[in-house]
Amino acid sequence: MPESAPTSDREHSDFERKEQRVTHQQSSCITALPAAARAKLQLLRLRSRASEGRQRAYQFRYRRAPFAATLAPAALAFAALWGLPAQAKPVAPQEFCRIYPDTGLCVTGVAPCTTCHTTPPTRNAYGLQVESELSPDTPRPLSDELFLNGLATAVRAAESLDADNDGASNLEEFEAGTLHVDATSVPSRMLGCDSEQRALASTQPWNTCNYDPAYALTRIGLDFCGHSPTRAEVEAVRGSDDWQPLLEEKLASCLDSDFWQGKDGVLWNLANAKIQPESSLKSGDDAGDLTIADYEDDYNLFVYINTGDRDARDLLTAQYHVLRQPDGTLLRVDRTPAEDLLERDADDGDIAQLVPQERRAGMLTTRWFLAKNTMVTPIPRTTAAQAYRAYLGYDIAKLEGLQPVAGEPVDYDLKGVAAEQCAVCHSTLDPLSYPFSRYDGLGGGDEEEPAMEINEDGTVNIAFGNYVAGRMERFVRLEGPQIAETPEAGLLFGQPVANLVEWAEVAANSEPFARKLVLDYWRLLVGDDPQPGDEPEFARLVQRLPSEHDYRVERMLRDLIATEAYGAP
Amino acid sequence: MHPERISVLIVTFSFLAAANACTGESKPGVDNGSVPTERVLASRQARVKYKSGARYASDLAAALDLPRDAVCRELGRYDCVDEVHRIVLGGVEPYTLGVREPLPLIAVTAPIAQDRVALAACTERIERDFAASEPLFLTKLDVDAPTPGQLEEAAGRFYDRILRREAAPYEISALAQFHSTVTDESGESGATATRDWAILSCFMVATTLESVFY
Repeated sequence: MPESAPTSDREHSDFERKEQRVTHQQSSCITALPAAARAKLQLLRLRSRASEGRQRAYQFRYRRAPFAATLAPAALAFAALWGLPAQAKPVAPQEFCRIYPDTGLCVTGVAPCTTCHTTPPTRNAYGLQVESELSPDTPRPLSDELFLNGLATAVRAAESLDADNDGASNLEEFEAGTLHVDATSVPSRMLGCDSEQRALASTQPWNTCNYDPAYALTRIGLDFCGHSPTRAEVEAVRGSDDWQPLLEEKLASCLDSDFWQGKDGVLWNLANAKIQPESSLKSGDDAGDLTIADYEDDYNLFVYINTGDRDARDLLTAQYHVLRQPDGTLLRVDRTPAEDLLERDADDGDIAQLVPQERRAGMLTTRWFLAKNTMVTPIPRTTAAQAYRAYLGYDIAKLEGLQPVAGEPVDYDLKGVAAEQCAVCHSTLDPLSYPFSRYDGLGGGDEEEPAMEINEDGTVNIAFGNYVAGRMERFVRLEGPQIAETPEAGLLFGQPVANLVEWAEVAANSEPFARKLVLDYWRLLVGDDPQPGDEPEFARLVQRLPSEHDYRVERMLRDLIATEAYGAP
Repeated sequence: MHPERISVLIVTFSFLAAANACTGESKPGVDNGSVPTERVLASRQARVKYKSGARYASDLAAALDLPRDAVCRELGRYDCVDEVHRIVLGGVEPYTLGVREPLPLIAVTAPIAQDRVALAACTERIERDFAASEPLFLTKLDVDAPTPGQLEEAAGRFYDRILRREAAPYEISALAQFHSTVTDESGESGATATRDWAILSCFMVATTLESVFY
């Protein structure tokens, strides 16, 4: 039964759309307004959007209202930031790492903004040194092309300088992994032992010059099992020349432990930042007040794929979901939406996975992921950005992973993203987002809530958390006719993809996916980001994941515990 | 044992242990050993990790042979690690608090919470030892009038169980001598003094840096 908004609500929406268009059209001028005027404008937007959120929520289901209204201000705050002048160069982090690929700053493939900035676009001492060497006779602002052409020369010229006046040159600090803009951070880390030190270390309880198998065993016990190995186990390793099998045996037994793969266990918590659960919105067991989906499906899928010698690429490509049995074991389930609906939503709603199997893309198309990130947005940029961040390691909000696409963003939803300062990120983000646009979160637009129908092919006619081929048509009245022209095809890493399933396939087979996966475990087990001396071991793990390890996490972990970064005290 | 008395004894023990480590003072009947002074080659990586509450409690439960839910319960009702001190002890609570990853730095109140966990667990263990026919730590020990040799044997067991290694002579010596300190300071004697000594010895070993970090 379709729900229609009251006339007054429609009028209100018309007013708000006009207001939005005006402010979007003015977006490039916003930065010229006095601060007080900007604040007032933002407040006006905030009120307007909050009101819109409330109105939309009433159009759907009353229980979703507070959710949409609460999140609207956050969306507006982000939108307001678009108005800032862009003087940082988002192309710089990748170019820096092309020039210095082996430095600690480039462990993740892109240098942090703080390499050259305090808070972008304000430059730090090193940024000022580079800037003064960068095409000094060329008028500012520099185009991206001129900037890239001159950057290598400029950073080379700044290598011998000492930005933080701590006595170590910028280059020495890059190579040592210390901070080149922090005088308290100086290269002093001892990366090797001489013969005298080795002799001394060999007499200590822990050998601080080499990989120490007993130390590694202790870490394995605590990291994977949750408790130290017994003294007998430690002494067995200490007393054996063939200790490698003992370590692998310990690892194998711990990988099956509840501490590692149980509910709220180590693996489960590794997924927190990817899933972003919120108990107040949870359906299923321990349901919240406003149920939109059950994120336990997401956790179960994550843990399942990361265990049992399974292909980690399933995180982005799985067409199944996973249920936790009463005894804690995980069970793969290959059900159509209709089968899952009948099986699981009979007693409790908002649980079943509704995306048709052939349209599923692992963690990216679960009901929770879509509801939480897409909500009622026509072009789900937040969803794409979260996928890019959580599984490929690029946070667009930090100007990471930018690969501008010519002709983008088109700005199908008239948000003003084609403005120069917005296009810096949106020329990458929008083409990433289009493949997500046919996946519904919490409805939105001129939504009709059809009677629940189950089709012969196993699909269901429910908009929420489902694939809806004609989804964009629903937004024409609110966003304008151009919204319907939003393509389903997009680009990822410069590669055209026809839809989200192809997007996920490209992502899962990419180097950034392997790097991010290894990095997650490295941080968890080693304790921090790879340091300069670690780079060969870290790079080797990334390289071997798709080859020798065949994307099996547990095989990669056997290699990780054998690294010096993990096993040298 | 009264909490205030425990606190006084903990402070007293801290001073004594430090003093003993510096002076190497010996007492009759107890092999004092000597504090190692040789040069040590420091770690090249300095990547010591904090055990965090869940790992620490699990490790301590295994060491003390206690069920996990018997390790520490505030007011006898709320689990210290899973509920009361969860975030402070490096845990997460992503569902309602939005704390999806452990705090980037160890919280300033973490040592206090850690002490409470260790003290509760050690108290529970020693109470069970006193009630058990086959105690874990206080084997072959005359609780009313322990001999120095019996105290040393028990001290060694604390290191063996909690740190999974053999105790150094100076470590055994410090713990064994502490029994007379407990007797002197508290005015207690017999089984009461031995109970206090055992709880505090367990507590001392369970709160060493070696026990809290890895």
